[in-house]
Amino acid sequence: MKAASVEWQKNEWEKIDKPKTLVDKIKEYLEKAVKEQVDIIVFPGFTGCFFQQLSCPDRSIMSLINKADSREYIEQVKELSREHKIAICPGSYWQKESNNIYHESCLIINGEVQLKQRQIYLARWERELGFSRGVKIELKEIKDWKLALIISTDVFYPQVSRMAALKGADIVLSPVGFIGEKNQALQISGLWQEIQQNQFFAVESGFNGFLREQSFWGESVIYAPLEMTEKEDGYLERSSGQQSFIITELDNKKRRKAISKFDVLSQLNREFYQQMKMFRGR
Amino acid sequence: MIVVNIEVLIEKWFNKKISLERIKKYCQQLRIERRGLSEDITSENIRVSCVQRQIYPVKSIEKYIDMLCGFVDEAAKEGSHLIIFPEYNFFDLFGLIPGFSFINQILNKRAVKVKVQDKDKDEEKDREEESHSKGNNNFLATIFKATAKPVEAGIKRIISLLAKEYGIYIYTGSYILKEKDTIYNAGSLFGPDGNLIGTQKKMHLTDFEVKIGIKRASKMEVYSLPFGKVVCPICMDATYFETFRIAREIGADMVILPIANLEEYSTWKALRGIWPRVQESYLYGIKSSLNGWIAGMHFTGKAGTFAPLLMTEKKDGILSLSPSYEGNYLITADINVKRLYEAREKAEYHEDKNAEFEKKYIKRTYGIN
Repeated sequence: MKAASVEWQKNEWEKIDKPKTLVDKIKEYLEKAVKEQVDIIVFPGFTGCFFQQLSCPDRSIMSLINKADSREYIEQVKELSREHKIAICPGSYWQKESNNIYHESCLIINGEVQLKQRQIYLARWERELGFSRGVKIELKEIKDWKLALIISTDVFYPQVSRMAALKGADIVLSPVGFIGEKNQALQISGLWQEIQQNQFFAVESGFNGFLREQSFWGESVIYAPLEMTEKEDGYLERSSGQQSFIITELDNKKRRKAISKFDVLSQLNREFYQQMKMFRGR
Repeated sequence: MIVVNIEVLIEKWFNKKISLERIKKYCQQLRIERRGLSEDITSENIRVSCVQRQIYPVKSIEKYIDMLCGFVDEAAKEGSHLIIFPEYNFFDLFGLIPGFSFINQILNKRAVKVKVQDKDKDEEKDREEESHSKGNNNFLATIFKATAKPVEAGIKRIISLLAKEYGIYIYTGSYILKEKDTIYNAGSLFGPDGNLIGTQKKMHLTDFEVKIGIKRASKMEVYSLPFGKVVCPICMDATYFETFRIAREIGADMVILPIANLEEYSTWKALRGIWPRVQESYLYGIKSSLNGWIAGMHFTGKAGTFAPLLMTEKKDGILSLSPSYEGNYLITADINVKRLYEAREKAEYHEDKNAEFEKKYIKRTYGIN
């Protein structure tokens, strides 16, 4: 399985002034990916939100969220997906349903949404804006690989990754974007460490743009368990803010061999975990 | 034919070498200037010291007491209220076994040789290593079982006496706890009055521990101290988010974590333990570490104190950290539980709850009711 992740710097986002410009840019990267025979590509978190912002340039962020409608963006990506034989995670977007607003992402293949995922936990700023939470995590099987989507804030909640891992996830696709001062330690405390305690692959794509006055940051990285990475650092590929497009081949046999050397999940202590009262709804 | 039970012989030998009377007598001879726990201690000004130390097989219990006492004395002089010793804090006592020094040298040299060959290792060498490791495991399992009772009693007595003399909370580091025929990796916390506060067994084991027959526990207890609540899981327990999640649920403010990592050190490997757990759980993490060679095994690790990113000066989650993964260090830091509570209130990416998702989490995730 060949995977790719996209990262655009702030000055590139600033140049995108119309929805069509964004769609053209996505198309440009899909073409690059197809040329490199990539199977799956992940676009940055909040790319869909950025599209929604461009579609309504005069609206405040609150008004944007209240009218959140991702249909136009998803339709555009579905159209691109029909022309490019590649699985696409189009980043994340806001979606309203029955007066609830969710931060969502999906996986589009052959013009169809094959997997949808809502963010399960909210950042403080999302809580303040009144977002709702997703309640489940599902997996999609492609070419004998089980895929899960873990969106932005959820990378800081290990219970989400653990559930995906125990459902059998081989790869996690993760569109992300963080607010506040840029801090690599924060990103390591997110998905990097989830990979190490669950031993799946992950393709993370960071948003370095802005939504109205709010700036975001995030590096794009492809992760694997330490034991199977060249420098034993858990990174298969990373943009380091220098590359807009990173690609790597994911080798599941190699991953299983790495797990056989240090099998974290084999030592789970289920009897002990019954002590987790809050997870029992108490 | 006379059948010699080596376990019984070693246990008898250790009972003689680690007699409680001998410990008491020697501690009295040390003439420690008795201090009380400082009265101004509150949840806002707690000083903790984490021991990082090298294994040094001793020929007498007195040498071992000197070593422990040296760290406690230094911590007390620095004004610490709590000092924690590392996992497998008793390995040095294997030096009391007659002929151990000779066996230890052979095992260590053989292990170093295997490590050197490691780069061009083939399957045959893998098998050879496995067979050596089995031999080591049998040897260690016997030693662990034989020495468990006298070592536990000895360490507890020493730590109790030192805690009382110095007026300080001391975590023993871990030792082998034998209950009937079952052995556990466990550690105990003693108060400044010299009394035992509690004993916690390890809940997630390494492959090595499974192979030598150590069993795991399935319960964690929280201990209320005047300056905050603590739990004491051990090493591998920090590889699992569940340990720290439970720690938060049972009200802990800080996690005492003794480690002894049986691997070559790398920052990335070290990052798989307490550091990410502290970030996701918003608890303080206090880590002690054992390093060096014993019986063909090489242990590494840095002692340190950790807090959520934004509570640390460099926003890196580190309050204090040993400069090296080998050698002897006492790593001291100040922690403030009130500030921790404030940080939880302000956390941007943590502290959210999702009752609906969490309701049947245990069943849906782990397949248990």
